[in-house]
Amino acid sequence: MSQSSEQTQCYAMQLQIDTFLDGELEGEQQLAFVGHVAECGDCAHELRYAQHLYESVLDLPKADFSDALVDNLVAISSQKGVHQLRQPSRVGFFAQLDQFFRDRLPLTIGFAALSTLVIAVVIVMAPRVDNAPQPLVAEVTPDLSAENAAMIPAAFDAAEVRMALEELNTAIDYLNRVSRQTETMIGERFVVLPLQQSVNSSLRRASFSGNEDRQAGPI
Amino acid sequence: MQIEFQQAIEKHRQRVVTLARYSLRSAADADDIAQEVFVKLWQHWPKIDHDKQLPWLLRVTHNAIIDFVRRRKTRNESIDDAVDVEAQAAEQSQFEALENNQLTASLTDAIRQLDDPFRSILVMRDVQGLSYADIEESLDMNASQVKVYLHRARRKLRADPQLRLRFEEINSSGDDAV
Repeated sequence: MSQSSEQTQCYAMQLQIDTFLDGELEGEQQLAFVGHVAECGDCAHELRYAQHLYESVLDLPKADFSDALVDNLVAISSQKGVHQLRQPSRVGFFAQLDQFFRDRLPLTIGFAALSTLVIAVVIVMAPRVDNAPQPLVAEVTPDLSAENAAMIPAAFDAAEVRMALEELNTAIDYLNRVSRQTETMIGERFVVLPLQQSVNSSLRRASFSGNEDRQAGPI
Repeated sequence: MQIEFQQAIEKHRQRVVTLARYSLRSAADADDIAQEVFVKLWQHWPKIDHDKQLPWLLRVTHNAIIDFVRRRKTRNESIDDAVDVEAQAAEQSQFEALENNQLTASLTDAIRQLDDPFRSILVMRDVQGLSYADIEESLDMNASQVKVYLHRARRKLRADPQLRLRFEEINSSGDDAV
């Protein structure tokens, strides 16, 4: 057997180590795996390492938090109306905001028109975020037809090809998740935060230029 | 309702805290996340399906960890890292005392460095021994995806040079003893 063919076989066998450790390798696949490991020193070493690591992970300590935290949680649950307790009171704030806008009606109208324009531009310019699950390009087929099976090199059997397709699907799924997270982060950082800062600074400027005795905090 | 809530804390506290501790370097941050999760459980108590309480808690924990890490990344990381290191040095919790073994410490570090969802799945399945059904439910994935992520997570751990070095040391000292 050529060196590259051996390497391919070792790679394929090492991909099955975790399935073997989970006890999910069956029949001919299990026999082929055990037979290969018995003959190949590198793969046997890799299996020993994987098994050692796997057992070490299983033995890792479980964490727990202190009884003081539990007492704290119990105290929170014993307070009546806890749902409201954790929400900041907004009555005073809205009354204050209402008064602030009443005092500066022309400025408010101008500001509202500007904000509407900015938001409309942002919505039109923002790239569309598709929340629907992205279609996967590869589909796992339960059985390969004889015609397709003949096209696969002899070094890989149907189970290995299926495993590779599942790997590919998972990689695509992972990229989709990362991409969605990135879009959310960029949206927060470059759209929401600047808008919020712009609103706050406008309010601050307006409050300094007008009646300074009034308390008109930022949003 | 309050008694049931206390029973839920007793039943699931270890699962929630373990997931948080293996995801964050600071034990204090992990405890904060766990507390936040149980407060949310109490706030949403009438609305949630209590047959699926554990997957719900794990999903909320997972999301809280992602939010926390994202918030931390947007802040000045160097300052935050220094705070983390100081906090870690100051804390000598029971959990950290258990990390005295060098391999265990390297393993914990390597797990914390895994990206999500590899880390969460590895902690849920291998460290905590959760069922595939619970993991699928909490991370909104199918069984095949969970399994592939788990196997990839284990392969990533095996590729960690520190861990391999530790294993080789243990292996060679075992050979010497023979």
